[in-house]
Amino acid sequence: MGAAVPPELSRLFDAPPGLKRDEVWASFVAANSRLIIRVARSIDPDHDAVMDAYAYVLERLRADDCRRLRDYAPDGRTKFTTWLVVVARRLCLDLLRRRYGRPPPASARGDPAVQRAVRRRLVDLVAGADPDEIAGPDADPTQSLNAADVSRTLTLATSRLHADDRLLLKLRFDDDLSAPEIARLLGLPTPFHVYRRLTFLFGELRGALRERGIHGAEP
Amino acid sequence: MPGEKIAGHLTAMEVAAYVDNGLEAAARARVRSHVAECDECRGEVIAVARLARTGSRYRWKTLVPLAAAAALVLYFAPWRPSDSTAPVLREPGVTTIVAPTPIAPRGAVKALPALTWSSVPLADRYEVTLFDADGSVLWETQTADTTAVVAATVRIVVGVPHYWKVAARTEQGRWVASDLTSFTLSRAPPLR
Repeated sequence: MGAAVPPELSRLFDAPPGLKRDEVWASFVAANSRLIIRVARSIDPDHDAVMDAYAYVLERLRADDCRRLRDYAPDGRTKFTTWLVVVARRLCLDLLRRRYGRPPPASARGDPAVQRAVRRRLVDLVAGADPDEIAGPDADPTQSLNAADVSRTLTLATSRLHADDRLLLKLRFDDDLSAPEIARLLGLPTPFHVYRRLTFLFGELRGALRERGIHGAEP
Repeated sequence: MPGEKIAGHLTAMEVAAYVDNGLEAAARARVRSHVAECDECRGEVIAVARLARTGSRYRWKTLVPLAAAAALVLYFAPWRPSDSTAPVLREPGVTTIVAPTPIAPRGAVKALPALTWSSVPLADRYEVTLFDADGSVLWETQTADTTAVVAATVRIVVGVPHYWKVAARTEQGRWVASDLTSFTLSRAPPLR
């Protein structure tokens, strides 16, 4: 990972305005189009939306004498392409918000049943509940109260964990990431480290449940 | 505005440097602490990591073999004029390859059932691998079915997590594997 301005950028910044600048810009576009299109497609896969977002990103990157591209500081901590992914993605979201308004927060998006199912998985894993006996809407009120108590206690116990552990649980149960993906994001050597830490955390959370007199977690 | 810190959110440089593993330990811990609380930044880090990874994989693992394959095809494939009058009778193409999904066992189980997973279109072979808590391979087998019974000689330790995964062969030499799935046996298996 070098600390120099990428050649395609330095050529762009050094080019005199006019025909030469247009030529260098065209080569910058040619070199990065695939990346920008991939980013645009990740936001909205519709072909027209991708092309609109692609054009918008290029327009914004070139605006004000490439002001945004000049923000890139090659300090050796990141690759230009990764930084460009972040900026292009933010611009695509910016376009989406201009057109459709700010999307609801992640917690309010998606099928509520699916979201409930994802949250339940942590409760089930920690509290050892039988999935066939999960309280439904017409369940026994006592059963519903117990489930609410487990959920409340678990939320409280989770909030007391170290930020790294809370992040691990969120990546696994809120974002539904795979263990290899979590390992990469957290800098853990293997997916097994993720599983081991999760197993440890389940133990901690089970302990918190036991302190509240909830013993469904006993193996 | 892209690249700038807004209302305490991560800057573009921070997100990119985190994904590229370029931050020092303290800065990395700060980012982790922030994304543990901020859904928006966490979503951004996840999305950028996926896009950056897809890009590098796409460049090296797809383009090079594709270019090599294209060169071989151009070199060896005999040229044949197309017969436009011949009827076209073929199955619809499979455009995406899905990984098999482990179905059971998952989480806490009272007895070890047969390992069961979802089928993958056009898969002719599955390879199942069972690991202990340290990641050592305990047992593996290949089958054409979507279920496999763990050999009786394999020792499953009660109360200790075990992991398994399954890979499907969709065409000659091409495998697609599931994520690792964990299960913990809560009581000793009956003698078999």
